[in-house]
Amino acid sequence: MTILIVLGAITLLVAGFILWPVYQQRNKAVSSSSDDAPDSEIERDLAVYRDQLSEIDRDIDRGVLNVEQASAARIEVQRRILAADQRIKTQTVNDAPNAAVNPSAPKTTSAIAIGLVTVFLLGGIGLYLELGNPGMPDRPIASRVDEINAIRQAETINDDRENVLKRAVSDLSQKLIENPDNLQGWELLGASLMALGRPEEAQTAFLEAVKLSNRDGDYLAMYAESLIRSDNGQINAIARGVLKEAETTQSADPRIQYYLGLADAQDGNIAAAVDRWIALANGAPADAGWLPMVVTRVKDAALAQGIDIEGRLKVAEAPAPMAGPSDEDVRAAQQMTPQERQDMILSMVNGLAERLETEPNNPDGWARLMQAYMVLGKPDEARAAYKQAINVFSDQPELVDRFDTLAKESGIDTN
Amino acid sequence: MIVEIGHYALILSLVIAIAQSTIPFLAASRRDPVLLMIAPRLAITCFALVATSFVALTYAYVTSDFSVVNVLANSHTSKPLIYKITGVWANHEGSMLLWVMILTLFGGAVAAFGRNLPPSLLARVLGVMGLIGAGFILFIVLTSNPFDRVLNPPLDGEGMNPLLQDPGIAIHPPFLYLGYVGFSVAFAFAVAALIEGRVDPAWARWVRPWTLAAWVFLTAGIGLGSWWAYYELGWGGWWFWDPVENASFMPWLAGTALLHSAIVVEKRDALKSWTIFLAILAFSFSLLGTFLVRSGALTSVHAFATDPTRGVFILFLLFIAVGGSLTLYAWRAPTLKGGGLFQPISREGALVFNNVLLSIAAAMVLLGTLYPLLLETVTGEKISVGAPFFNATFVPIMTPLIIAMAFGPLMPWKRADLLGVFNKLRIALAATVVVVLITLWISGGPAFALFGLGLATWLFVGSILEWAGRIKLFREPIEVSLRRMRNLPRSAHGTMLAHAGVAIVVAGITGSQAWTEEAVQSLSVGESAQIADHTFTLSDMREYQGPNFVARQAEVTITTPDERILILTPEKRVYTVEGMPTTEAGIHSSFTGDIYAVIGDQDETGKWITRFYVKPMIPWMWAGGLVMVLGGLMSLSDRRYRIGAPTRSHKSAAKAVPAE
Repeated sequence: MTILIVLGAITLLVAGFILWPVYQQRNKAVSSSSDDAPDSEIERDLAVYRDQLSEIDRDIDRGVLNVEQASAARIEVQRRILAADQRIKTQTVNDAPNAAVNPSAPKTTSAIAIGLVTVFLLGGIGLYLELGNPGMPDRPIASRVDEINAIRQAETINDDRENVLKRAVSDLSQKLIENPDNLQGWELLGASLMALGRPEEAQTAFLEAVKLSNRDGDYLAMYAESLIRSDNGQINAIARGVLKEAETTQSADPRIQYYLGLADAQDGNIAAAVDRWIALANGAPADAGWLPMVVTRVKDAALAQGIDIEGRLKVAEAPAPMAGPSDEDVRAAQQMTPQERQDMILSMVNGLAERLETEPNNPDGWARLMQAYMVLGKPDEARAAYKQAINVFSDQPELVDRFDTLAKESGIDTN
Repeated sequence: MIVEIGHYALILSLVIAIAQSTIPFLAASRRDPVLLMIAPRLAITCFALVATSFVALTYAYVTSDFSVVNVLANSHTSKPLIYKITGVWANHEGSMLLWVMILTLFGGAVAAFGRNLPPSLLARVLGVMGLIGAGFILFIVLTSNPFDRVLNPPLDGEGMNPLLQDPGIAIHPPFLYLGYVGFSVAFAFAVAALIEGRVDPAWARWVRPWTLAAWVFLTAGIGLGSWWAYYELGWGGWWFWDPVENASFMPWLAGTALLHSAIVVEKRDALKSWTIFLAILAFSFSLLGTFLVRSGALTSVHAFATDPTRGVFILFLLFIAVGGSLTLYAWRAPTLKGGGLFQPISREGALVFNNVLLSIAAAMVLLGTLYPLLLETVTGEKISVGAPFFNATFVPIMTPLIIAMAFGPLMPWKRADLLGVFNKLRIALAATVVVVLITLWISGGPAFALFGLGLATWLFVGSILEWAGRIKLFREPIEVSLRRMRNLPRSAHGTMLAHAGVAIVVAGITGSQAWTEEAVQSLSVGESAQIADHTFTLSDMREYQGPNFVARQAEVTITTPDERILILTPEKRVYTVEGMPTTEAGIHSSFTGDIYAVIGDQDETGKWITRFYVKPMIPWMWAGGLVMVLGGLMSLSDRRYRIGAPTRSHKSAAKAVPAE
């Protein structure tokens, strides 16, 4: 808003400054400025010639010209003065008919001047509204401390996370030296090393886990992934063997099929890869976090190779991942009073509950809802959510078990 | 908000420039007093608006407002403040804005100081300047808008070419533009005179100071540019016949010719048509330079990022301005009446001689610059026209010019006695012979050095003699001479200084070309090299952290033939943001010449590659340029150009009478 006022003021200032002579002219009675034009013109020319005459005198003083040359020069300048005088006189005579028209001129020209200037300025305003961003504030770097801090903070959090992971790695290593038969310890160590971007070391940890678990499919998948990551995403012969072995186990780990598909693709057999990935996607739970990625892969590969997958993908569109709070929400939450924060969390929880009413097939969502109610200090709602979840998944005993455990852990009254 | 105010001011300046290119012509043809009063106000407003937008852009740079795309692409928070400011014009968009600001500055200045001009001439001059301004502001708004914004700006910019992060190059473009664009005033006066159909001595008096101002700035700009190339590019060269350097040299040659031919119009009422033509030519060369730099037609240090639409747009503007004015010239020039007659041997004759040679020189540069471009366009063949071509053409053109330069100021108008003038120059001839013999005795050659130094001496002594003759130095008591010196018109001092400056430049070029010695070698710390009886020792090597670069600094200790010890600290810097290295030469300047050291990388054996130069007389070149600039300024301050003050009071007195 301020900007519009400032821009308007600039425009008026410009118009006023330019059109000031028009205003002056109106206030003055009819002036005779057009008559004195020739007079001032000859005056101007005479000034130059007078200057030249005096320069001739100076030249005589300096001895550049002798008297004879000087008088010749003077005659020439005087000749020019006469010529200028003559020219201006004829001009005045020629202009006389025009001068007769002049009395009506000021009014017309005022109108022309005002009209033209207005049109031009309006054009300028129009062009600016087309090209400019009047609502956009300045963003000097000094005013962006918050953004810089946010990035610094994110970096710090990242550093913290890394420190925690590093500590975990050293603790685990220590424990595993003492007790090398701890399967979960090996798994954790491998996962931590992967998170730290050290897949070569993770290989050893996962290999231990594979051995301890009697070559369990899940651990084989983890081991294969660490091998692939160590080789910059290339699926080498060892990784391929591990994946093939994992495929024969009972494991439903999606990584097995995914990486086998990738191996096909790397061999140039895109069609086989697409088949594998489609099967993987169709067999996946609707809320699987990795599903959108696989669907995108299928579509990209199909598009690039011209493979027709019409109707084959049962998950038509990549399901939108269940909306958690966005970064912006989190940032906003940090600047709130406790009451405001409570309200915001409550509204988010209500949103989740509503979504689950319409799309109940989302076990993670139910689990989050139950926990959120407990955090908010609403055990009754938590219990209602638990009951609803059990109802929805009554045909899936393992999920019922999971909800039971969760309820116990978070202190929900299950009766 | 300030950024948006700048954007609005820029767009408003466009429409005001369009108004400025229409209303004044209407005013002049109708001889309408109100519209004639509006014309200068339009020019002043236009400058105020462009200046506002320039200040707004500078503000965005200084505060690192990366929501402005131009700032984002060309600045960085870690840059020192001075380079945040100079960064405004170290890129295409910003420098165009500076270009237009200077153009409108000249328009505003003509409007403000031109009250003594006949109002219709003033209006037409402003109208022509408005046309040029409108064309270029439209170019900025449509193809190179510096006020484009981004919604989610990153937290830091992409930085600025480190080669340009240097105080010398920071002020080089403003000077150069003041020069280039200054010729637009002469151009506008020429076109306005063609429309009015009259060129008289008074016209020349009005054109001269503007041309002189432009010439002073252009001389300074070219000098700064070559000085920068000398110390920053690290090859010890100062002029590369780079097409962009040529592009600044052509308007300089044409402008120098214009400056001299305008004297003839002013004093003798002759050469009118030719002077008009030169005024058109000088500015056309400036526009050509702008086109060459911005169109991507060629590649050089100067060429900005290439964008075909920009090239086409500027080519179109060039075509309109040059083609239009030359057509007008062809149509109207024959109606201009020639004035005073003169003999070939006279001041006028000497100035014509000067004009012919300068024009041929400009034509040679034009040929050498455009021929490779044309050849590449037509046949696809790439050739490079470099120093050999220009040396071969320039020496034969400049030699008679320099010889004649000593004669010219001594000749009277209309007719002169060549023998008499030559008599006055006997001392100059004697001095020339003496200097050539001394040079031969000391250095033994080469031949062109004897020749060049001879020419320089002839011109230098000749210029001083003319000046000394005017104040009767040594022929009258010293008090009389001093009094005469004070009474001498300042333009006479200016002529002497400018001509002597040329002599000093010629001496500097000759000396450095003839006797430069250089050597490239690998040295470990503690080792030495011997060049031209100077011992260069690499005494230390250290690293340090600058504000936005890391530098490796060498310490080179030099023992001169007369056993003096000098220490130079050449550097190699790497600018961290841009990831670009630059060289900072270590230079010791003295009256006799420069000692110049550059440090390079390490070779396989771990030794440092170093280049050392001993360049006799090279500082004379820039000193000479400075003397020329001083001469121009001296001439510019001559009060005889400030005509009209008595006219003004006369006019208002005359006006007061009918009012009573």
